[in-house]
Amino acid sequence: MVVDKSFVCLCEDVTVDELRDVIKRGFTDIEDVKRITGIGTGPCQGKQCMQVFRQMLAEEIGIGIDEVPLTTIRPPIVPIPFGQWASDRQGDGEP
Amino acid sequence: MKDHVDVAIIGSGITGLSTAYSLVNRGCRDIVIFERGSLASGASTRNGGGVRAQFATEENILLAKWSIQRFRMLGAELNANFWFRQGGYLFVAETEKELSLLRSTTEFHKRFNLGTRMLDCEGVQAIVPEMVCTSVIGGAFRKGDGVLFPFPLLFGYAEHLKRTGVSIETHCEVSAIKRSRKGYELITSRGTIYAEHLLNAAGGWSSNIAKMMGTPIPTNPARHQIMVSEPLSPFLDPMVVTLRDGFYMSQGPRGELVGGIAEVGQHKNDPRKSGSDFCRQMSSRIVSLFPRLGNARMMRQWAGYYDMSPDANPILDEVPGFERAYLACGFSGHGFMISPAVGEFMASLILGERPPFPREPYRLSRFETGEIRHETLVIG
Repeated sequence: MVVDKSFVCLCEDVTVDELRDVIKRGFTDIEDVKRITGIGTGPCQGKQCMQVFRQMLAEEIGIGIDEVPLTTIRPPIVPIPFGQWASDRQGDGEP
Repeated sequence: MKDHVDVAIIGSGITGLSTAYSLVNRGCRDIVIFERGSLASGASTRNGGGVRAQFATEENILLAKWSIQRFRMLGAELNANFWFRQGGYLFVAETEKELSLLRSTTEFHKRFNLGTRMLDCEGVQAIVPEMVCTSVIGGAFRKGDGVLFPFPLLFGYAEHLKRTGVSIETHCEVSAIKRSRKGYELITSRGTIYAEHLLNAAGGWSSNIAKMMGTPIPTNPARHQIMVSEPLSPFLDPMVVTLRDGFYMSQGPRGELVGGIAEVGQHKNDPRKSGSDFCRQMSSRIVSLFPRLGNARMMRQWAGYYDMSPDANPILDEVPGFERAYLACGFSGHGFMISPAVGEFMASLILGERPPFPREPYRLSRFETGEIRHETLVIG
């Protein structure tokens, strides 16, 4: 097998091989693969890797990319310093 | 999917997985676990990984103490490194009332040989040098407590169970439960299955499952929020908890800070929604206790359910009037940390054996007889 140490997720150091290995172990649910490898949960929150990751998952299990759901997008959109949050007094209530 | 099974478990969270693991270890392998969403997608994949024996009731202490011993061995058994690190739990008091609560729980812990000790302000400072202790008047510390990383344990269980023949049906909702001649008939989105034994381990949804069976239980889901920071150099050894506002924070194996706080203000109790009010409240507390973290960044924030029981102690029982149907719920925010003991407890009940813990304190009927002891150390 071709060894592929290319990084898919630069924040969490997740490689092509690592993703293939997890899928081969039987985990094809995008949430499972995310939680096992940490892909998409680093400082960029998946903005760089998510489409490549979904495409890979789709190819490995033989479905279209549109059939692979997105992982839940979590706040904040970009990492925000605690000091900045703490000095922001404006409440926005419950979404 | 098979149409007959010995044991059906509803919920693939840590309670269901741990129970299945204990059953498999005792030779019972004909098990199906049903999960409405992704594997363990409720509180089990949303909690902060705290593990402690410092509780206020014997009910939680017995299960937690036993579980901590098991956590030390489980990694090797499952070939899964979940980074269990016993850096201790530090409970911080800022008022005389809080300090006296810690004095009484620390005294109570002597009965169980937990080794919890009281600290004065200097003692607290020595354990957490980075924390500003101006408002702190003392604390309680137990070294054997700690934190773990939930995901590798959950997926380690899942892989092990699948290898032994247990089926885990994810994205498969149970929509109706009826009694049948030999047990229970479950209508699921993948068809009907008959189970001789049935376990409700649905966490925040346990009361819905109980209602489906026609036997309501007094558990209620309560939304709590949590956050993680970007990775930082190691500076925080124990899990720090402040009694005043349910603040807790620990540093994980990659250097990230994980923590939460009891939310102030109204919300709609929906775990899919998390709010920036929490971020402000949490961040304010972080920078007041740890001013040097002002420039450190919050990376990700989410929400999940505590499955609250009326006395914040778990319900581990056979459903009254429903032979071979069982409840493992109401963990009130502590389900993960006591899961190895709960798995052993429930496996014993299912196999008709005597659990290695007293049964009475965990029974559902305690809420009717009024023999309850309320757990006061609920954090977050």
